Amino acid sequence: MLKLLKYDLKRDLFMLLGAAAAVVLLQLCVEIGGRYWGADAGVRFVLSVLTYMFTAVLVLVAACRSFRSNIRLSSRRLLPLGSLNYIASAGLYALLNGLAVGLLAGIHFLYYRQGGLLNELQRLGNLNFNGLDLHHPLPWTLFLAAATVVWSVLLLLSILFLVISVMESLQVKAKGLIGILLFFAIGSVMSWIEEAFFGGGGSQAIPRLQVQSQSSLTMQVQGLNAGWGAFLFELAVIAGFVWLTVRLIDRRVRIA
Amino acid sequence: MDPLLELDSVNKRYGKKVALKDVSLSVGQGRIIGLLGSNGSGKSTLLRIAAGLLVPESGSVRIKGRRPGPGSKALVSFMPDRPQFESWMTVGDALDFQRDFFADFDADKSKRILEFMRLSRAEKTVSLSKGMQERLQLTLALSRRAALYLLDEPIGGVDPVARDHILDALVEFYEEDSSVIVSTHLIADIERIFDEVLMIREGSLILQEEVEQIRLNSGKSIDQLFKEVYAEC
Repeated sequence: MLKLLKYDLKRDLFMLLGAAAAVVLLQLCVEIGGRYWGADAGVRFVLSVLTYMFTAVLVLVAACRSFRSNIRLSSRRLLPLGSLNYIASAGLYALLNGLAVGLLAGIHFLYYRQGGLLNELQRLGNLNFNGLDLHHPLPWTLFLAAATVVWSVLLLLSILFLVISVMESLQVKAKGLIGILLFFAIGSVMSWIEEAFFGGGGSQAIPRLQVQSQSSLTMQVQGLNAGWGAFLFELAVIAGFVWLTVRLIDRRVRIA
Repeated sequence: MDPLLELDSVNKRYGKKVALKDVSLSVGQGRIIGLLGSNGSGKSTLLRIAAGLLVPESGSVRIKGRRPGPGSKALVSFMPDRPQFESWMTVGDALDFQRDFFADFDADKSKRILEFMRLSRAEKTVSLSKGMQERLQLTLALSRRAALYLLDEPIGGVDPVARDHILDALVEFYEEDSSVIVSTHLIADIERIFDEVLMIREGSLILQEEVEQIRLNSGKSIDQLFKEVYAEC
C-alpha cells in the first residue's frame, strides 16, 4: 500500500507542488494585495478561509482521480496486491495532502494570532467564537475535532470510492450522471437515517462555519457529543461501502 | 505437479458478444506457445483472463493451482498490447516500479536486456517511438523471473528489423523452466520460436498441438495452416 502511495505521489508530484505554490501565492495576494487595496481584516480573513476550503475540495478531487487511475490502469491492476490496497492508498493520499493543507492553515493561524489579527477580527465582529461550547480542555477538544474531521473525510471517501467503482463498472455513456445521482442519493439516505435515529447530527462535531455576510464568519461547536449509535452506524456504513468497493474492483471494474 | 496454466470450460461475454466459448486448455513448463487467431478471435481476452485482469462468466482458471488474484499475479508476467508504463515515467521509473512490486524482478537481467534493447534509463517513455515502446514493454516483462510469461502481440506494429530483434530478445531472456504464451497473427515472422500452437477462432479453441507434429502430419508450415483455417474469416 505504501509503495502504491509512493508512486501515486510521484505521479502527481508536479500537480501537487504546483497546487501548493498556487495556494501560498493566493494567500499572499489576499494578505498583501488586500492591505494594498484597503480591504479590511474581515474580508481578507473570509477570502483566506474560502481559499483553504477550495483547496480541501481539490485535495478530495485529486484523491478520487488517483483512485480512479489505480483501479482502471492495467499497470496498477497487474500488481500482486489485494483490492483493499487501492482504497487504502487513495485514502492515505487524501489524508496526507489534507494534513499538508492543515499545516499551511496552522501556520497562517499562528500568523493571525501573533499579529493580533485574531483579536481584531473578534473585536470587529467578523469572527465570532461565542457559539463555542467546550466541555473539555482546549488541546483535547482540538484533538477530538481533528479526529472528527478525519472520520468525516473517511466516511466521505468511502462513499466517493464506491460511486467511482460503480461508474467504472458501467458501460453506458451516462455513467457520469449516474455517479452524481448515486452520490446524492447515498448522501440523502444517510442524512435521513441520521436525522430519524440519531437526532440529525450523526457523529459530526466539526466546527460549523457560517458565512453570515461577505466579511463575517461565525464558528460554532455544538459540543463534541459524538453519539455511540451514530458512530457505530457510520462505522458499519464505511465497512459496508469498502467491502462493496472491493467486490466491484475484483469483479466488475473495467480495466483500460 | 500442477500445470502452469489450466483453463476449464471458460466462457466470457462482452454484452451480447461472445468473446470466449467453453475454452479448456493446459500449459506445462518450458514451452514457447503461439496463441494464434485473427483479429477479434479472443486472444487478448484469454490472456487477460489468465493475467487476472478479467473475470470469466463461468469456468475455472488456475495458475500453478491458484485462482487468479494477488498470488497468481506474482507468478505471471503479462505484456499487454497497450503500454503498461505510465506517461510520467522515464524508462528507469518504469523498471523501478516493477522492481518495487515484484519479488522475482532480476536487476542484473534487467540491465542486460536494457543494453540488448538499446534503451537508456533516462529516456522519457512518452518520447519513445512505437518500436522502442514495444522493446520497453518486453524489457519490463522479461526482467522478471516469472513462471509464466504472457505476451500480447509483442511484434504488432513494428518494422521487420525490430521484430527480429524483439524475437531474439525473447528467446535469449525467457526463463527455460517457465513458459511463454505469445499471441499474434503475424505468424510467418515468429513461428520459428514456437514449440506448440493454440488456434482460436470466434472464441473457441480449435487446435492445441506441437509444432513439429503439425508439420509432420500436414506437411505445411504454421503460417500456411493458419491461412487455410482462417481463410473464410
